[in-house]
Amino acid sequence: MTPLTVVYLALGEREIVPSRRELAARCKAPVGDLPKDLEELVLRLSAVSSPAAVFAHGERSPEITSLLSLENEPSLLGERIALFAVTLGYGVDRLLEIEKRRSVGSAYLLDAVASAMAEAAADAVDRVVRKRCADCLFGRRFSPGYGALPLSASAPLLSLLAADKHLGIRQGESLLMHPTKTITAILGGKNEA
Amino acid sequence: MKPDLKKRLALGRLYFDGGTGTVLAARGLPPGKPPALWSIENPREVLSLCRAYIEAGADVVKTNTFGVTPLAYPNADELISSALSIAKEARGTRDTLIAFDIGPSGRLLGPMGDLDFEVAAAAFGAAAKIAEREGADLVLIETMSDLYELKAAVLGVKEASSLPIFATCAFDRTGKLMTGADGATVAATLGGLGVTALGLNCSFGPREMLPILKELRAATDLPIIANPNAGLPRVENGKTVYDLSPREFAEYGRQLAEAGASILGGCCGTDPDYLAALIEKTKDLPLPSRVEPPPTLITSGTHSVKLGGDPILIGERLNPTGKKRLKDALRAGDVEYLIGEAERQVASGAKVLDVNVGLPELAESSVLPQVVSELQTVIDAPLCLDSSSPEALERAMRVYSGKPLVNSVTGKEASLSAVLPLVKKYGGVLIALTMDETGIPETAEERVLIAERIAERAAALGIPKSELLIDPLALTVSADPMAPSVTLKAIRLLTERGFRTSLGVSNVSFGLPKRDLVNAAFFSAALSAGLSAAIMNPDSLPMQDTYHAYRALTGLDAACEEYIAYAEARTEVQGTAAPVSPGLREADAALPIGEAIEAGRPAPAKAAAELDGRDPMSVIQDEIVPALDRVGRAFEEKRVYLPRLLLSADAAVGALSVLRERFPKKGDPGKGTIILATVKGDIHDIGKNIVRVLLESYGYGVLDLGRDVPPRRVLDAARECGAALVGLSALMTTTVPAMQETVELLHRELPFVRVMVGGAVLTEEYAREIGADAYCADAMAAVRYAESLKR
Repeated sequence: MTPLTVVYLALGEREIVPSRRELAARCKAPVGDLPKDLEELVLRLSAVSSPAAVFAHGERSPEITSLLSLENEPSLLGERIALFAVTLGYGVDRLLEIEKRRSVGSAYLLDAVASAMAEAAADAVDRVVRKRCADCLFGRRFSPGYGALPLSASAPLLSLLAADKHLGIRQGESLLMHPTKTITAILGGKNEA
Repeated sequence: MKPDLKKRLALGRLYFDGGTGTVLAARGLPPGKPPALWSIENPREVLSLCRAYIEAGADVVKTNTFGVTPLAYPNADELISSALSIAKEARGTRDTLIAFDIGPSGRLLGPMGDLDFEVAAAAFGAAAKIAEREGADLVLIETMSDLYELKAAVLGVKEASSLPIFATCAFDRTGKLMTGADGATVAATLGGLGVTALGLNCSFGPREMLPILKELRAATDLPIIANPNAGLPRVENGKTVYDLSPREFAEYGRQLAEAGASILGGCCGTDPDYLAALIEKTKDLPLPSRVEPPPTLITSGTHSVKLGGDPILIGERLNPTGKKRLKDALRAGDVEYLIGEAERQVASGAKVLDVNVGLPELAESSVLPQVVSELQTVIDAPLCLDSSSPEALERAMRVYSGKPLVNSVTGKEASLSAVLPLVKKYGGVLIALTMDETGIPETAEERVLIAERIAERAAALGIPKSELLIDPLALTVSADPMAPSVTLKAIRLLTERGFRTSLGVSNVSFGLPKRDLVNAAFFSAALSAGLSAAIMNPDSLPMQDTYHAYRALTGLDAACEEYIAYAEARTEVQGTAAPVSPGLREADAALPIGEAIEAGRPAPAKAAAELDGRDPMSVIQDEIVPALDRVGRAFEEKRVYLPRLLLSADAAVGALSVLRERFPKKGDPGKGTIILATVKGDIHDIGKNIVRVLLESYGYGVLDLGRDVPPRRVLDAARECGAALVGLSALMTTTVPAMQETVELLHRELPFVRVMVGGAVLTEEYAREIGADAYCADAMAAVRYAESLKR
């Protein structure tokens, strides 16, 4: 089996600007009822974040299938596979920690905005992966813990991507990732006919 | 250290080998399999690689043990012994050194992560102990991206073995460690911990390393290591290739050597060819030499502050002496108040914060490390650990995330023999008070003699004079009119003898009116005499005036820019009367308290509470609670949403905090205390915090145990404060079992206590399954449940 090559990807500030829809979903409020100063929160978070990702793609081998527990998620069982981890970095966690001690309300909003920004970052990586593998048709991405992809798949996924070495991503016993605004995902694909 | 290693470091450049994992992957190591396992499963490949590196010219080979500790591998002993016997076999009769390779644990240390500092240190130590037994010559701690974990590793190895320690970090593309430390901070902290050599590895490639290497070099005179990657990997025709060829890599190696790296090698993507090219290109370059001694630095976990040259202000406000509010906060364990004080001092210009928790009724040796641990999570400024108890100092120095200022040692034998070894072990700049068994000498000359005696004792342990900050002691002028001139003379004499000095300035004015005026004049004279640091109140305007004017007058403030900025801001401060809550607009000032809360406007709500002269209980009952109820109902009917509800709760809590100052007890005594916790293994606390603030805004006393709370602690707390209701939060499926365990324990031991649960993964049914008394879908539901029990 050929090794999966891990590619590092730095993201720009613009790639982590969240959509209004995502913001609304994360803040648990309708788009029209979002607080006015959310843009300011996006800027504050941007200033302390260092968004970056690692991704890898290749053929889906039986070893990878079992390593990542893909068996029960049919949409990940094509000939090809891509995986990535993307994070906003530890600076965001530190800011969230500081805000929690100031005000529960604004800490909640800041955390929700940061989650929306991480989602935007994942969308950006998703686009890059699809572009770089133009000969492949990928389905929607799955994060461990969603669909039939178990949460426990995140550990081998991070290890395949050497996400600790490249991005400083750590995982605790409860499988929680640090930095906390980190997203991992797997895409299954078919070779384009 | 083996004399051999010391000599070799002094005589010539040392070469590490190159990458292990990437080469083994190219030789068939399956993806996802840790390379360390091949020491047992495929030792021939590991041996052949190690031999190739030695043949290419490596002076030091790393064992194939990246990431192996008893924490991660139950068979760590076997893996480490096998890796060492492979390295020894490859070395044969040559004088190649074997470095036992230690990588990061893969987990994040507490309080943010779930790995305990001491557990980590013990695991790294246990691994090093095995390696020493099996014949390793040194330990290389590499690819560290968190300074705190690196400190745990160095301490653990130091405590378990006598092997020399080399430490290298992987910096990110902003030139910092992933968790925020800059190069100078890393160099100073590692230097303080007594490593033999330090530097960089992995990261993005040699070009990106160059500026960081220069930063390290400027901050330390220890030998510097550079083990870069061969650039970044990419895919070419289905094969993994790295940006740099061996020739290009060697060319960057030359630049790294010229910038000050005396130990070179490679990391990911490099192989024996890269190493051979690197050696060829750099072997004849002279070793770097240094003209100026490195600066004296103290650091937090992320930033460093230089001592000497520009004088620095050390904030004195985190010391309970004479501060009632701080005493109360320490007794109540109110860390929030301490953090607020810390932030305020930093905003006022303090570069370092003194932390003293000495109260007769507090166990200093457990409270000081706890407070330090909390402060360093959110404060960037380095801390000055202040205690007369060596035990408290040691425990705080141990958990501190950088290289602290340590306050203090005296010339007394008991103090010298207790405190100096701590600085030797953990690192730190030490404040030394010029007093001894006979007390404080009356003359400046005698105080200098004590300073010299302390310096000698420090030097005998290997702590240089530059790591001391001599405090010649400011005594009260009202008791002895000549005392200040003795102190000033001592500062001058000490400065002439190459000592740096610090002073607790405000002692001088004790017993006098308008103390700040006397303090400022004395401060000015002390600065002129050569003072390096002042422990003072950064909120004092006369002291700040003196400090800024002094810097402008002595060329420390180029073009007086900082003075001008200070002076302009100061005028504004003088022009203002009473303090106004930040963010308060004029039109808001008149907003009635209930409306402000309903509108979710914390600043006007607080202002209205400040102005409201009525009985605080009736303000709460007639204004605050009805306003909250209106917002709460609107939330339940989906007319307003969570962000607004929270802002309203924030506003109510702000108003309550003002009103509470007018009545002694926290919360409405009739409502009892509710305990909240995020369960063991989970660190998501936003939801729990929302519940807390809402309960508080309804007047409940809440004991918040924080996050990652073991079941037993919840039980103990519930028993101790007689709580009738406990709220538990969990956000992950993996932590619900811990929630169930907590619920069961509470029900078994305290059958009358009700348990409400909430969190993203829970449902009504799930909550029932784990035995909870109530499932609360949101924070309002928690309030409603609490209210229902009251009836």
